[in-house]
Amino acid sequence: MSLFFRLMWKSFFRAPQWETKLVVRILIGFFGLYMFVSFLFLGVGMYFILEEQFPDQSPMASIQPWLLSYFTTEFLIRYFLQQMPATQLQTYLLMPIKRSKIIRQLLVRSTLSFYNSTPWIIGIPFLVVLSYKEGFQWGFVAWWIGILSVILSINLLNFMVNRSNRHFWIFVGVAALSSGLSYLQIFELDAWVGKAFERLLEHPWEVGIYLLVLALVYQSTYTYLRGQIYLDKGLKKRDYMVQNLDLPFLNRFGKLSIFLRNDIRLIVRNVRTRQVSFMSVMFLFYGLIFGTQEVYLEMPAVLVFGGLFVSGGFLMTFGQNIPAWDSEYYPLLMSQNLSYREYLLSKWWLMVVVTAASAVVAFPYLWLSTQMYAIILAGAVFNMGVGSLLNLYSGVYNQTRMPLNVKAKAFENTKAFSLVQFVFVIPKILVPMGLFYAGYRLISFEAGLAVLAGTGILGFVFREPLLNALAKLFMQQKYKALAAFRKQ
Amino acid sequence: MIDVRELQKTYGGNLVLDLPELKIPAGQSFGLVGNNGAGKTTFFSLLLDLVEPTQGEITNGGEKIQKNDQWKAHTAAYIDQDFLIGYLTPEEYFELIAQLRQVDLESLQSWLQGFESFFKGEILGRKRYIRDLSKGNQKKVGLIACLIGAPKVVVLDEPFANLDPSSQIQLKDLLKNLSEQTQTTLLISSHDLNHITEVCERIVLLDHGTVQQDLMTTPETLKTLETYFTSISKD
Repeated sequence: MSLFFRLMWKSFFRAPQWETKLVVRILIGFFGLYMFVSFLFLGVGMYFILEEQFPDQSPMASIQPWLLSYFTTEFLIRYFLQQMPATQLQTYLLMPIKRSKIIRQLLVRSTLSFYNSTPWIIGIPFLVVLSYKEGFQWGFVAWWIGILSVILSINLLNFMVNRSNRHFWIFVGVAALSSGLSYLQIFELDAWVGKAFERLLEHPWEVGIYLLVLALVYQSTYTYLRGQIYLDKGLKKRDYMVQNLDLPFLNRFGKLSIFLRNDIRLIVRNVRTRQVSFMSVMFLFYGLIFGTQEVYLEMPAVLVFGGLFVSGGFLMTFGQNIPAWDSEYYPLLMSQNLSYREYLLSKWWLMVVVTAASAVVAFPYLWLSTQMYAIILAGAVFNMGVGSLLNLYSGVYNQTRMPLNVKAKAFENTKAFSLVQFVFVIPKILVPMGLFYAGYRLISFEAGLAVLAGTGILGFVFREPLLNALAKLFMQQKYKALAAFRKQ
Repeated sequence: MIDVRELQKTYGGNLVLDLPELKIPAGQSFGLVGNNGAGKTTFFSLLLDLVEPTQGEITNGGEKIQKNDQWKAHTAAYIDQDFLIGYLTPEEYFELIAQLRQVDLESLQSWLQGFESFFKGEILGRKRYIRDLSKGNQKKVGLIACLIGAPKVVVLDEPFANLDPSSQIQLKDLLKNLSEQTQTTLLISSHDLNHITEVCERIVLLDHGTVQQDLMTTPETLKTLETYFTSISKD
């Protein structure tokens, strides 16, 4: 044990730039703490939120129909983000440990994942408040165990689903079908799931069924993995079907098309980049948090915060890792006769087009409020003009090798970000908020929008000199980046 | 073609490469041998401007490599897997390199036909990403991509490693032809003394970053090299 600790100690303090890493770790620690506390508050506050939103129902009754949506979302998040620890198995195969034991440990270890924590940090506080308000019932415990069993089952099923895209698409198909049927009120699966859980309150012993299901899922995952733990089966690298991505329409971009085509292939064909795309889709909904609250409508500068993320999710998640996305083959790029300006311009186009598309796709915000959508549009112009260049600029300092076809661990994406990235939040987010606020305070809401969008247009006007300056900066950072991107 | 002057590279105070002078004339096939840590890969990285020299300079085709990028148009290299793009198929990778080197895709296709026996039907038309290929096949992709557009200078680090015996023999013939028929300046490093003495007309032996021997290849060269490496392993 002490040996293990000593190794960790060494690896940390002997790492390059450990001082900055320490600061970043502390920041990440704070971020984790922040997440933990917000979940805790959500758990405590859930009773009161439900009470306020659904005054004619008891909070416990009003939560039931949402459970299915919750499970579905959780499944999706897991599919894209949760890293399965299966890859470390190979090391143990030759050691004198029984295969069955290796798998059991793997399964148990996976339940300790961050992704299984919600029943504990949201569920338990909610039930404590509920018991305090309405009196304790054994049904609550049964209900909680029921939910925990479902979440753990999803966790286990993920071992199987993760190995094939087909399972995933079947799942998406079923989910789409059931939400369609539910919307048309033909068959409301979510209501049925809600009822099943509601029964647990009255008949706590039915939780046995849930536990039985969990046990069955555990056993079948176990059997599945037991058959897979050979080098030529589950541990074999998956051979992917090649997607044809010739994208002939890109040819009209001339020389630029070489890079654009490659960047699109990069995004579509790698796990890590698909993860980023998923995150950017999630960011489309980020504005809902702000747009649905009366309080924020009085504070449009806060809406700008949300609005910038709605259109800029891709910009920020993809952009801040340029050129790290190309880290696996950076020496190749650097020894080719290519123009850095074209390389950067291709990334610029990609960010601008996706940002514009996100702003268009976000049009349902119109129903929420015209103000909100106007802010999203103005924010998009800012993101396209200024944000795109800012992200290229901050990416220069993000010199960490990025393994493309490996999922990030929870919070690993935050690890890649350096102190510099943190400082860049100011121009990326706070400055546009300030710009809007200045115009809004001094003149009017519309003036605030004009200032925000106008700054974005300035970015377009000065694109050429700024891009050239960036290309020069990338050139200067070349040796540093090459050294940092090398395989450790 | 390549002219090295007063080149030094230190890492944390350790001198890892020290080449006061080294001239490689155009069309020469130049072999670099030495144990691990001798400075072979460091030299190649310096030559490709992937590492900054602590002192001195390299010119390639008359241009200082750090000054401008002209030399990249006639220089190609395959050092390691970091020169491959894993999420492309071999065809797509070849096309990308061809586009960067301004070779049109039709002549690329017919040119690639010439390597069919080297590829053994395991590379083209298999609909697999490079990252899913075996190490040997990945190497073949990298080596052949290097030759696209007939570069005047070709730099290969350990080209024979990971290849199966018959591919090694084919590669040997390929490289010999390349330097004899097209006057390509060829720089290769290898741990295989047999292969490298067969392919290269000149062998430079590095040890701890300095040139120990600089030989024009003769039938005795292999013996000389073997004697040298046997003697330093006994120290």
